[in-house]
Amino acid sequence: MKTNPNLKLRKLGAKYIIVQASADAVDMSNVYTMNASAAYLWERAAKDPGIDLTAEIFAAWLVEEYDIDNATASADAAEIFETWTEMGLIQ
Amino acid sequence: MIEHFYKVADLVFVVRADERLDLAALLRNCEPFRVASGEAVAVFDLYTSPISYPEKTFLESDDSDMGHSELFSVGGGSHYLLELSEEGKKLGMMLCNRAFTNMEVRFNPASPYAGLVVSSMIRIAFAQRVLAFGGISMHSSTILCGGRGYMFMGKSGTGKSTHTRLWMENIPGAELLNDDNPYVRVVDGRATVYGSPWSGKTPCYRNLSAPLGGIVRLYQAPYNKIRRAEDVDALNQVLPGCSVLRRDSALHEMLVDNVLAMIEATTVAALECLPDADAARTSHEFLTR
Repeated sequence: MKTNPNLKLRKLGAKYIIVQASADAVDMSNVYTMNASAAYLWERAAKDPGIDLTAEIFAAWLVEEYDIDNATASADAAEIFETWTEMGLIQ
Repeated sequence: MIEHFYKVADLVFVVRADERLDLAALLRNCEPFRVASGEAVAVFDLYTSPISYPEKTFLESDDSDMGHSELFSVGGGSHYLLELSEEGKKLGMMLCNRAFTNMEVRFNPASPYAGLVVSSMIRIAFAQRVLAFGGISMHSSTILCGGRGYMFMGKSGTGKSTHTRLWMENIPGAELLNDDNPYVRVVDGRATVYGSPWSGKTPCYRNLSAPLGGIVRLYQAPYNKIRRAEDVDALNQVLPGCSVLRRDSALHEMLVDNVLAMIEATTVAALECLPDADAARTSHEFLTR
């Protein structure tokens, strides 16, 4: 899995966002908001498109960057990975 | 060959056609925007014969009151082809390069819809072109009042035109700038709203502009209540009413950049309202606070 190269992470107010043209509706865009840690994962993933992303890799990155335990990291990473896959942010 | 120059949103486009064509009559709605000449950012060449493109890849289709439109990719992705039809009958077609700087428009001059068809296709292409200049083609009914422009947005049928009519009936000095498709340009952090030759069913083609005073999205409700929208909320209020060929990521990115700049430069609000005078006073009071 890799981050969709057409998507750009932006900061808006206190949130990070990705705006993606909707695949279903011709005239709509989807706005995804993420917090700082999800944004961190995105930027790190986008920087190295050679990596095949997995929830485990995300968890490892979270543990590296933030002071959290493996269980929390795994849970957060799994949720982020699943959401992003579902939404087509990573493919 | 004749050339007509038009300036919309402070950007010039030129329409070229055979001199036998009465271009002024064909593009009557564009007449208030005529300029003698200018450095055109887009060129439209009009032809009265169709061409067929055997190698075309279907991208998407849409149905509007303009009829049925189909979008294709041709030339291995170097160009877009738009075809307009109504009940199976071809009304017109337009070939555009990816940058939307050069368009070939083909139509049937004998059709009673000729002007509408050509005008609609020019509108579609121009909406993409302005993105490179901080511009956005917006779907809204827009009021001019006290030297500012105020855009009212909402899904079709929500009551934008009703709301702006209520402004004109109840707020001194309020005039209609455009009823369907104004343009906004954000330059150096300042947002300006412009009238255009495209105004939906209301022929309000006013070549005027004003600093953008605010954007309000309307929602039908059994009461009148307005609230400010900021950041992601503001983006979500505004984004659905902006025109872009969303599947073109380069264009889509420019749109998002422009919209973010626009909401930074103005006030965005959400108004739940009735179709009454108090609704107009509510939004007016909020916007001019």
